[in-house]
Amino acid sequence: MHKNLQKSTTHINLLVFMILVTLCPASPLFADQRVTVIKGGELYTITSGIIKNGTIIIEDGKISRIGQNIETPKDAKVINAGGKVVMPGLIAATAQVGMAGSDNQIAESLDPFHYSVSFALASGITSIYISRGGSSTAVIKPTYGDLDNMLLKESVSQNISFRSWMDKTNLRQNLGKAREYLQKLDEYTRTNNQKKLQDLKKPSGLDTYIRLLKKEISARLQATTTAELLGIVELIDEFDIRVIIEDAVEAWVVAEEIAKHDIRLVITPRDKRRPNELISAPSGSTLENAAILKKAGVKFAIVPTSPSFATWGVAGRDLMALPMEAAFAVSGGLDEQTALEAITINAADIIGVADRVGSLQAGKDADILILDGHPFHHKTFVETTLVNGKVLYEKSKSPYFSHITHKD
Amino acid sequence: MRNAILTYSVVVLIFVGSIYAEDKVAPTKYAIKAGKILTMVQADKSSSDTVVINNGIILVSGGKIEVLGSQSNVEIPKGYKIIDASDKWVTPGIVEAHTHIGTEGGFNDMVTPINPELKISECVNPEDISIEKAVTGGVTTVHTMPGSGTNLAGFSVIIKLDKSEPEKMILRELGAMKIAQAFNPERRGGDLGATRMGMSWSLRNILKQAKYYTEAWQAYEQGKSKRKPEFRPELEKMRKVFNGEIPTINHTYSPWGVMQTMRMFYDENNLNVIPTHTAYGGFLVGAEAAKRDGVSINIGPRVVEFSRPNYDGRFHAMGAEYSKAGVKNLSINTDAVGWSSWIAPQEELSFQAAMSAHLGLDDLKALKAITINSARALDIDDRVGSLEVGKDADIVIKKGSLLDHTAPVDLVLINGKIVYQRKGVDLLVKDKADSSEKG
Amino acid sequence: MANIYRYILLGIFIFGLSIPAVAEDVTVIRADRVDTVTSGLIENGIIVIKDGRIAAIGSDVEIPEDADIVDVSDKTVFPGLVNPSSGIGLSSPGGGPFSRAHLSVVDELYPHQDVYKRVLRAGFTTFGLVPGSVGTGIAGQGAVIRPVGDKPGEMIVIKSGLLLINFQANDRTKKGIKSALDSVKDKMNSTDPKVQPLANALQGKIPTFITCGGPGNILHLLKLLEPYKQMKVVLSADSELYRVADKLAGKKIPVILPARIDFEPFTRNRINVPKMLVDAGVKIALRPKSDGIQAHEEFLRDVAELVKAGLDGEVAKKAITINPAQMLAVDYRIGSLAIGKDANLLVTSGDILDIDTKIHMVMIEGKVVHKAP
Repeated sequence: MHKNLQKSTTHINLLVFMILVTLCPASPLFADQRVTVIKGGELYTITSGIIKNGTIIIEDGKISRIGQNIETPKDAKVINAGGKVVMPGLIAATAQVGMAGSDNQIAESLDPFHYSVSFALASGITSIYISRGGSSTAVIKPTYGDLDNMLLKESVSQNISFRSWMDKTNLRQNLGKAREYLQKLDEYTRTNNQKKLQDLKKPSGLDTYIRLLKKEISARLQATTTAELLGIVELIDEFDIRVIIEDAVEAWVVAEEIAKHDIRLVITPRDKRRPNELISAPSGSTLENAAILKKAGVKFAIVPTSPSFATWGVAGRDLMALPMEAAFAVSGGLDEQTALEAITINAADIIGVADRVGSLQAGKDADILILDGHPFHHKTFVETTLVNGKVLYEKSKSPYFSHITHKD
Repeated sequence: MRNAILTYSVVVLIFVGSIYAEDKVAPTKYAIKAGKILTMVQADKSSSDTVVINNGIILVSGGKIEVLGSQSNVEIPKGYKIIDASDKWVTPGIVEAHTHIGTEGGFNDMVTPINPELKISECVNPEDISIEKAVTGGVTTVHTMPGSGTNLAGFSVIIKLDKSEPEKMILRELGAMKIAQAFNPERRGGDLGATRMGMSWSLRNILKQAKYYTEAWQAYEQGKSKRKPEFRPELEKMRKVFNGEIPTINHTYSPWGVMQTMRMFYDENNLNVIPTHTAYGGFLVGAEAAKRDGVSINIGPRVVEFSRPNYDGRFHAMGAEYSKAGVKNLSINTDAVGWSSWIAPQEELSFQAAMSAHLGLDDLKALKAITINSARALDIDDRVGSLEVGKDADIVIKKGSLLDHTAPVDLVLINGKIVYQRKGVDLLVKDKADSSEKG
Repeated sequence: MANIYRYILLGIFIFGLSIPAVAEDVTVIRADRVDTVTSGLIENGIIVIKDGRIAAIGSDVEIPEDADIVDVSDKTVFPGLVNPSSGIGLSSPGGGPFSRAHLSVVDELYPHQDVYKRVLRAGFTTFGLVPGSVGTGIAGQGAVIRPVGDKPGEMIVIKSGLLLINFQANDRTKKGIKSALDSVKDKMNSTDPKVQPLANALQGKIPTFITCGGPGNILHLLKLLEPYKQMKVVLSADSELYRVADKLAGKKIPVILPARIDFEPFTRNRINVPKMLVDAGVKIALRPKSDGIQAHEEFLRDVAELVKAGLDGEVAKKAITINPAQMLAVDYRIGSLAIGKDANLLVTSGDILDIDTKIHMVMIEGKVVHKAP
């Protein structure tokens, strides 16, 4: 009797175990690790054209497959994007998001609960280059509430002040010293001069400049006028470093030089600067800046007039209106494709994360937007934002814009 | 002797004839072939739709719109230069109801809070580079005002942005009486009018005086009274306000501010009033504004409120909220100052409208808000704001809607003259030997 | 024979001496209800207090002869309130080096201040007095004090009661805290005044109170604290911390909260943060909504508001007595009415969370320190 009871208990245990095992995949606990599928809609891949009525398969936070007529796996979470525009999350090549406090080590003070993180999701911005002085730069994702996945990449470029003559002198001197050190290092290594190698001390405070010369990082400089821009061109002639220039309002005047020196730019099409009446060369700002740069072969990212989110009443000039800024570049003659690239793949490339984000390609992070219209149409809203394959924003569920519907 | 008279007569005749001949050199006449014409004219009494003409023709002559119709029933006469906008949209020139461009010399005379003698038309500067920049955005008429540093800053001016003939720029010398009733004038301190109590008193006081002054002169001029009233030059301009010839425009904020503006100016004094700005929750009294025919709400440069005034965590579009409350004559501004401006530069008035539309205002309402509604608020809709026969030929041509900012403005006419054509664009059809053509 | 008499005399003499001693130190309170907080409500409760401690408590307790009877049989008895984190009575903080573990509030104590009289009247019998500071860093040692005494030393219940760290998520602060803590790893038994407090905190011998900003800061803090598993951490943070309540519950970190109703950010939607944390499984203590005297006087009313808004009444009572006592590691003697604990108690006209209740009498370690006129 006792043995039979034991056997029955074992059988029951086995049965329960088997039931649990079969039920598990359907349990909510597993839902997150399940496959997510975005079905239907126009897929603006950015790098491979537009796929009509396409499908994106997302697994483990990455795009695993993308194309037409792809079979939806069973048990997948399906997001219906029929009639919508699907595109990669937007990239802000410079902005103030998710930062709290005033620390030079950005990664140590990221705030995933900051309201700017929520606004970024609502605007469809999924990668942001943030910086605070000097070497404190990083690329972050607006992973609301999740600190661990917020940092995408650290210190890809060094902000260097290049406005005053003192800045320029310092930079030249430091680069010069760094180059001298590297040259000695190279020479002693080649000639296998052990003694000299031992005696050779790396000068302190030159790490950044050494990395610049080795092209491990880029220098981010600010320059507005042609004189300032040409000054940087000269610098590159002297020290072969990789440079990103912000502002660059008059870049259109010296577009060829900029292209020749492989300088990448971060521009705001609507920046206003009066032409300088005292010089005979062309000057000042123009909406055609982007178009002219594109023609000359310069790679650039577009950022809006204001680098943060405005809650005081202005509309269309702050970070929320990133696509609008690119739309203005189109009015200045830039082709639509390049305008889109300037807020997606090219921006990603300039901030050093193009291997992960910036386009809809298999293998890249599933940072994806579903929009109710073309991103440059003034009535378009972001309806859904996915970051690392997770839906982090839905317009219909957020108080920000759920009350705004277009009957058009 | 007879020879002398003859010679002199001939000389005189030639002289006079040559003068005449000069006058007779007429301005260019244009025939615009348009893909789509948005007239901004009300389609019929009951609906808010406007008349749209597809494949239309506009004939421009003498600075006015001469003919307006579809290509199938308008023939282009000889002597008209053809502007080919067959793949483009044509709209009325944009009318700005609240700006500070086009003048020089300061617009805040802040010695006393009440300045009914001042008029900014004295300071119009045709060379202001903001003017030509504004035209590139399709703006053709602007209402330029003194600032909001005082309670009654003076009188504004309405100008056309065609600086080729500066003498003809002023559309109306006294545009509106400029009032400021909240916040800005309170910053001054140390003078009556620095607190809201002081402001309200100062304004009521001057309004009362102006009202009696106007009525006294009306009575005298109509023969109802034999006594000639005292002449007070500082109140002369205000007579135009109390005669109903020009409106007042009031910088005001918040529900209490907008209510105060409407009560003090419209309810109590029967003046047409344009409450302008009206941010910080002014739209909560939109229904009250909608009830009052002589009240024309003008919003901007802020067009959206975040989580205010209801603290609901939502972005509220002021335009959409006013529209929902029933406000019919809503207009939008840039409040542009100078060339680069703190919020929107003058040429981006269409973008202010586009953003209002983005946040929920109907597209057509947004377009009206920068054309016919502004004109109506300023009582210049007999001249501008819509495309109608007899109105000024202020016309904007571009690809697509004014709200679409991927396409720039291509061509702008003011008073029938081309004042702007985008670089690289030439819409003028070259003259043929025979320029008579059936459309 | 004479020797026996001598011993008997000696015995009577000694016995005679001891009787008055016994008679002086016994007080008995007779109340309508005794709310022990940890063991329920006792109707017609009797508390026997000897040498400042509760010797017996119950409804059917033997009352010693010659005891001082306090007859409050129409009133309620409740434990004295514990404010676990306050700077009341201390002077304004100054600046200083990042790590000031050797500094202690006991050097600043001054008992004859009006504020202490007033907080007593408001029902507070124990404080976790913490050092003020400007900016982040290891601010120093706090003490557990009673707000009465003739001399500063008489206020002290536990001299080195806690270590206070002010945290904000930035590199400098993180590095500073880490290096300060790591520097004492090999000196766990040191008596160096600069080292000992850190060593004690690291080993959990004294609690570590940490002030911190919002939820983002807390995530950084939790990461920083991971290697220091023996530290007994108590968190004092701002209202939005409810967003990480589950993480705090998971790490079993207790939280000190101001007693107030908050608004959801950007809105006027009222939220009951203490309740939200309790629901998530976090142990909480409530403190006055600010460190000023008025907030102390309004404290019970504010707590009642939270209860009205949904916070469980029994949880609220614990949050103002035994929970803060536990966070200060003095619960072996303070925070509830139980045998062996200090007779710190309030005699009130009704339930402590009743809006109309008035405090009739305050007793600290058996001595009446306040009696309403």
